[in-house]
Amino acid sequence: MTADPITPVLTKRWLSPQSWRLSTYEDLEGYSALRKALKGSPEQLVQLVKDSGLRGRGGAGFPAGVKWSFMPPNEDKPHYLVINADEGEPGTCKDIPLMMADPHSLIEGCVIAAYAMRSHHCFIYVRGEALHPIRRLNAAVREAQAAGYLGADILGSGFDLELTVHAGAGAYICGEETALLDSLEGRRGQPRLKPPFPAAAGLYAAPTTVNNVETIASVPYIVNGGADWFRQMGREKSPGPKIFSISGHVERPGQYEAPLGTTLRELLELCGGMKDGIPLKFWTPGGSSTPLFTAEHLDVPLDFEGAAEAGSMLGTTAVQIFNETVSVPWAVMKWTQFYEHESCGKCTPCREGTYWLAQILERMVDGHGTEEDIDTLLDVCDNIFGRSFCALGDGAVSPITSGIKYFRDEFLALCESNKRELVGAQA
Amino acid sequence: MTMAPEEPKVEVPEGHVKLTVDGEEVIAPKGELLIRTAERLGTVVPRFCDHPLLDPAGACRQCLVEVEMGGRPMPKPQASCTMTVADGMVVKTQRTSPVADKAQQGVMELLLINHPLDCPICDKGGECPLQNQAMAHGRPESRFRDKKRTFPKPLPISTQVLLDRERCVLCQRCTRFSAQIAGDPFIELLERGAHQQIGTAETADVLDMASRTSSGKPFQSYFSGNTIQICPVGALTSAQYRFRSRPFDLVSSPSVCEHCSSGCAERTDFRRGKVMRKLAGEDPEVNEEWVCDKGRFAFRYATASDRIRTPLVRNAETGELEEASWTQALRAAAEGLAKARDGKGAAVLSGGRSTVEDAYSYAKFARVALRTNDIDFRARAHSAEELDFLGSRVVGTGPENGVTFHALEHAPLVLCVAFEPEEEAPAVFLRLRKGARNRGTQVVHIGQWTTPAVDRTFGELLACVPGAEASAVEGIAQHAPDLDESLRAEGAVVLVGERAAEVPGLFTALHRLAERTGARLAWIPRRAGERGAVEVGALPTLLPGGRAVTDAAARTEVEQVWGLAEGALPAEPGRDTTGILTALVAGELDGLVVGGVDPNDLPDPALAREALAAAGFVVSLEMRPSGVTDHADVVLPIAPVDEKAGSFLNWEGRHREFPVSLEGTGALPDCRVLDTLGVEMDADLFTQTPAAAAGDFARLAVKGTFTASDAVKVPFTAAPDVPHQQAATPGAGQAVLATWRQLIDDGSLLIDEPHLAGTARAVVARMSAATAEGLGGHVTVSTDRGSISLPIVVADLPDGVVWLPGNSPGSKVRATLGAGHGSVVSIAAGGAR
Amino acid sequence: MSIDSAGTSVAERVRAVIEAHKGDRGALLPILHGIQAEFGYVDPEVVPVLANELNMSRADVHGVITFYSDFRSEPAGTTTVKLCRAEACQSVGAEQLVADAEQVFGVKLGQTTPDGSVTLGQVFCLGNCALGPAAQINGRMYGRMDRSRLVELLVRAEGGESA
Repeated sequence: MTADPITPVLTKRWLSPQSWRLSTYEDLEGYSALRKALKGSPEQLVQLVKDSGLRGRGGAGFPAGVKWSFMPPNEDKPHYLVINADEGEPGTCKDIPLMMADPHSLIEGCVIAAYAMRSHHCFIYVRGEALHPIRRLNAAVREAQAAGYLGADILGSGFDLELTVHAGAGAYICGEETALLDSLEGRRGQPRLKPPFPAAAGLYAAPTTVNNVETIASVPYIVNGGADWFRQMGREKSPGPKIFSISGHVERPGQYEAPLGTTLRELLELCGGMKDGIPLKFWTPGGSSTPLFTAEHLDVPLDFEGAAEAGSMLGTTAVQIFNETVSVPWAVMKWTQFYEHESCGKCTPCREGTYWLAQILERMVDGHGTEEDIDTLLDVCDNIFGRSFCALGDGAVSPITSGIKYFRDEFLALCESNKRELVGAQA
Repeated sequence: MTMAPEEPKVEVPEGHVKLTVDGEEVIAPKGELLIRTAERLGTVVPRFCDHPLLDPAGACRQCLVEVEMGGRPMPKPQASCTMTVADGMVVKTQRTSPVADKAQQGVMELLLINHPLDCPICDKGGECPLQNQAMAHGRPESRFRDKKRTFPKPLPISTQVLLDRERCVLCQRCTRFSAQIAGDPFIELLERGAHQQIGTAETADVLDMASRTSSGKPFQSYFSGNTIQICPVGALTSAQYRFRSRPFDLVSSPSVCEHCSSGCAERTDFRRGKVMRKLAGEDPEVNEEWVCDKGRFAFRYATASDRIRTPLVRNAETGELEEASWTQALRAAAEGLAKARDGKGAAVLSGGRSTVEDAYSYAKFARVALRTNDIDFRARAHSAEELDFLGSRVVGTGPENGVTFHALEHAPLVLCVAFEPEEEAPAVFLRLRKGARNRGTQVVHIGQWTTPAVDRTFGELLACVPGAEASAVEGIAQHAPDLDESLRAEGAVVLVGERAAEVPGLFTALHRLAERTGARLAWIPRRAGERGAVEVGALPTLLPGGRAVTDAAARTEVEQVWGLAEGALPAEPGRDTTGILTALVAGELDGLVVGGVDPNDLPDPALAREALAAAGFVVSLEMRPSGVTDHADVVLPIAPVDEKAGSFLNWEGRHREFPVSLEGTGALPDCRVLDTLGVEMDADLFTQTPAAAAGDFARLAVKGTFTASDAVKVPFTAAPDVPHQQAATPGAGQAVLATWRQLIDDGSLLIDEPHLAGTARAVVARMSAATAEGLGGHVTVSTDRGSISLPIVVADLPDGVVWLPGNSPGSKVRATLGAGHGSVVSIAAGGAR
Repeated sequence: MSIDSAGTSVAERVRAVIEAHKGDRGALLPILHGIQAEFGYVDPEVVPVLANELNMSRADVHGVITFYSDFRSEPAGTTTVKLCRAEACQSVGAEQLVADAEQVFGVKLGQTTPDGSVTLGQVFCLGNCALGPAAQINGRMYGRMDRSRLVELLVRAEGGESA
C-alpha cells in the first residue's frame, strides 16, 4: 500500500453502496487486519501503534501506543477497552458519520486494540442523542458476532471479546474519559480525581483504556499498511489521516478526510469555498472549546503543533466557519450558554463561572452591557482557566477570551450606548 | 589547609521526602497532602471541600497553590488538597505566590456570586469558614450584577436536618460523609451544573419517613448530625438549634457523651444556664471527629418539665410524696435505711449510667453504710456467669493492655458476638466500617439477621437461633475452620455485647475461644456507666479494683484504705439484681437504694414492681419521676452530667474525664448525696465531690496486676465456666424471640426531642419468609404477660425466629412480654391495622 | 402503585425492564432508557422500585436521573421532535425552523402541546451537518428540514406511519 494524500483512508468505503454492511466491508479488505493482528503478539501491536505515531483523535492528542502500553502486563483484574463515542463538542461530527457509514472499521479496531491490551470486554459509549448510530452499531455487532469476528475464540485464535454498545443520556461532560467511566458504571457522570489514572484503576477500578472512535478506527489501516506507510501522511509529530468536520457558512459542509497539517485554505477548496461568497470572519479549528481563529489563520497547518503554535488547539478538528454576517458576541454567548448547560457542577470555577459568564453575555447581547463587563468577563475567564477540575472549564472560556482578543470592537460596540455620561462637578 | 564548611545535611528518613514550601525546606511523609504539609508549617491554605477524614475531592478549588516539579513549574495551579508531596517539589502558597493568591481570590468570588450573604440570620454566622474567609481575603464589593440562583427554603432532609440550598457551596462534605464514613443512604448530589444541589429523592414526604418500611432504602442515618457540623457554610442546620443562638453568645466546655460506652468526646455549648447544642469533640483515639445523633441531640431530658429539683419525702399519714428540705429528706432516708440495715438488711441497685465517681460512691455506700455486698449496677438481664467474666476478663483492662478503637481499625478480623455495634455503640460501628473500608478488616457477626451494620461493615453474618450463640461459638473450630484460623492472626479481636448475659454459656465459650486462638476479647456494654461500675465494685462479688469479696487479703486491703475495722467488710458474695428483688418480695430484705433504674429495664419488670411494693423502705436517687418514684419513701434529686464533673470509663477502659458544664445549678451529684447520707448514718464515704471520690478510688484502682505483654490479667476471679445450652425449640404457633434495642427508641434520655425521634428506624417485626407465611403482613407476638403487634418485614433470620426492637414505641419487649432474647413466644397473624 | 388499563402494575413492568438487565454491572442507565422506552418517561414513582431492586438509595437513583438531560420525569407527547441547533444547522436556517416549529405547535422548545400530541425539543448536532437543518422525529433522523417538510412528516407520524 502506498500513501497518496488525496486517496482517502478512513472514509474510503463511505460512498460504497450499503457501506455499513459486513459484506461490503469484507469485500473492501475488511477484517484482514484482524487476521494479521491475531497472528502477532499483543506487545508487537502496541509497538506498531507506538511506531506509527498515531495520536488520540478525541482532542488531547496523546500518543495512542504509549497509552496502550500503560496497561499492566498481568491480568490480575479484567482489562477494559472503552471507546469514547460521546461526540458532543459543538461543531464536531466525525465519529457519528463514521459509525453510520463504516461501523465495522470501528469494530475491527476494537478487536485489535482489545487483543493488544488483553481486554475481553469492550464498551462503546455512544452519545445518547445519537440513536441512529446506536442502532447501526448494534446491527454491525450482531453481524460481526455471527461471522466470528466477536465473541468466543475469534477466528480460531483463542481470543475472546465481548462488545457492548452503551447509550449515554445527554451529558456533554461524559466525553471526559473519567466522567464517561462513572457514567458507564451507572452513576452521575462527573470527572474523577486523577491519579489513579484509568490504566491503573478505571472502569470498576480495573485497568482501562479509553480511546476515541477515530483513533481506534485508524488502527486496522496501520496494521495493514504499517507504521511507515502511516507516517507518510500528515506531519512528523502528527502523522496520519484525519476526518475534518466542516460546518457553517461553506458551500458544501460535511466530513472531509485530509492528512493532518492541512490548512483551512486547502479545506475550503475541498468544500467549495465560502457560502455565497460572503467572506470568512472567524472559525474554530477544533470545536468551540478551541480558541477562535480569523482569516489571518487560513494558512495555519492544522495539526497538534501547528494549531497550538498559532494560539489555539487542534481539538476534534471540528472546523466551524462563520462569515461576516455573524455577530461574535452573539456566537460567544450561544457557546457559553451551551457550556453553562453542560457544566457538571462538580467544581466551583466551572459551575459558578459559566453561570456568571452566560448572564453577562446575555445582558451584553441584549444591549445592557458596559465596558466594565468586558474586563469582568476576561477576569472571570482568567479565574476559570486552569482552575477548574477538568478541561470543560478551560474550553468554556476559549470562545470568550479569543472572541474578545480578535473582536473587542464588537463587544465595545454593544456597550457604546450604555456609557455613563460624565458629569462635571456641580457647584 | 582550609576546611570547606560542612553542608548542613538533613537526613530524609525512610518513607519521607524533602520539598520546599514557601521557601522553607520541609520533610514530609510520603503520601501527605500538600495542604497538610503547609498546615504543619503554619500556613493555612483556605479550603472548603477538604476534610482530613474524608477522601479528597478537589471540588471547591479553593486551595489552589503553585507547584514546581523537577525545576519545571506546572502550567496550572494545583489543588493542594488532592496533590501529595514529592521529593524536590517546590510549593508556593498564597503567601509567596501571586498566582495562587489570585486563583484563591477568584474562586472565593465565584463561591459568593450565588451565595445569599444572609449571614445576619444564618446559624453559621460567626463560625462560618466561608464568612471568615470572605472577610479575610474576599473583595469588599462584588462585581456580580446579575441574578442569583434561589431555591425555596429550607428543605427538610430529615426531621432533624434542614437544608438551605442557596447557601450551599457544593463541597460535597455531607455526601461524602454519608457515603464514606456512615455508609448511609442519606443525601446525594442532584441535578447538574449551576442547578446542581444536595438533596434526597423525595424531601417532601420526609416527615412521614419514619413510618416507611421497605420501599427502596428510605432516609436513614444515626449520624446525620455530623454533616451539619462539617458543613463549611450554613447550608445544613438542625431543627433543634436553628435560630436558637449565635456562636459568640455561647460558652463552650469539653464534655463526654453520657449515652453509650464509647465515651465520645463532645463539646457542650450553653447560654444562660441552658445547653443549646452539643458538638462532636476531636479525639483521634476514640471518636475521631464524629458522634452519633443520639449523642449530639439527646440532651433535653435534663431540662424536662418534670425534673425533680427538690427532695421528696412520703408523708406517712397521707401516703403522698411531699417536698422537703435536704436536711429533712436526708435524715428521713438515713433513719429508714439504718432501720432496714439493722433489720433484715438493705440493698443497692445503682444503674448503668453513673459516672465512675458516683458508681464508686454507691459501691462504698453499700459496704460502709449498709454493710452489705447486695449491690448490682446491672439494670438489665444478667447472670452469675457474667460476674465471673467481668471479674476475670474485664476489670483492669485499659487502652494500654486491652482492645482499643485503634486496635479495631487495624485488626485483620473482628468477630462481633451478640453485639449490634450501630445500635449499641455507634462509634465502634464507625471504626469497624473504617477498618473494613480502608484496610480490609474482615468483620464477622454472630447474630440473627443481616442488619444494616452487617452490610455496611462489609461483614459476614453467621446466623443462629437466639440462645444458640454459645454453641455457635463453640462450633467455630469445627464448622468455620477459616474463621478459626483468622482468629489466630495477630491483632484479631472478639467483641461481645450486653445481650450475652441472656445466653447461658456464651461468656464461657468466648473465654475459651480467646484462650484457644489468642484473639483478644472485649466487652462492650450499652450504657456509659457500666464499664466504670465494674471497676469500682458496684457488683455483689467485686470490691473496687476487681478484688473478690471472698478474698480475705483483698478485703483487708480495702478495709485499710477505707479506714474500717478489720473484718468490717462482709465476706460473702452479695445478691445480684434479681436476687435482691426476689429477697425483697420474700421479705428477706427490708430496704433498697435505687439510683436511676427503670423497672421496665429489668429482666422481670413485674418482679421489680412487686419487690418495690414489698420493700419496707425505698430511697430513690433520680432526675425525673420513674417507676420507682411511686414506691419511694424518700426521693433525692441528683444532677445530670451537664451539671456535674466526673468521668466515665469507656468500653476500652479509657478514662474519660469531663468538667462541669453548667455551674451553680444547685443540683448535686450522686456521690455528694450519698456522702451526706453516709454522714447521717455515721459512715464516712469521703466522696463529697467527684474529685474526692476519684481520689479515694484511685487508692484502690487496679495496679500492677498486668504486664504490658500480658493480655490477660492474673485474675482475682475464676474464669466463667458454664456449659452452653441448646437453644429453645419453638412449638407450633411459636417462635424464638430475638431482640435488642435500637439506638433511637423510647429510652429515658431521649425524651423531649421530637426531631431526633423522627429519625428513628422503623418499628417492625422481622422474620424469615417461611416464618411469616400465613401471617399476612402483621404479626402479634405474645406471652402470658401481654402482646405486641407489628408489621412484618421479611429478613434473613433463621426459621422459627422473630425479631422485635427492644424498647421502641409499640414494642416494649420487657415491659409488655416479660420476655427477652432467646425466650419462646407465641406468634399469630396480627391483622391489618 | 397504580394499575394501568392492561391490568399489569407499573411495578411489574418496571421489574420486567430491570430483569432484562439482570447480571449487567452498572445497568442503571440502560434500565432508565428501557423504562423511558416502556413508559415514555421516568415517573418519580419508579424511583423507589429501582432503588430497591438495584440495592441503591433513592437519593442515588434520583441523582442519576436528574444528571442526564435525556430522562424526562413527565410524559412526552405522542411524537417527539428534536431540532438540531448546532452551528452547521444554524448556518442553514435552523433558528428559523425553530421559530416556525414553535409557531406551528404553539409551544416553546422543551414543551409539549396541550393535547399531548407533540413534544418539541432541541439537540446539538446529530452528525448530519452536510444535510442541515437536521431533526430527529421519534428517534429517526431527517435532513434538509423546513417548515412544510416538518409538518408533512408529523402528519405522517400521527397517522401511525413510521415517519
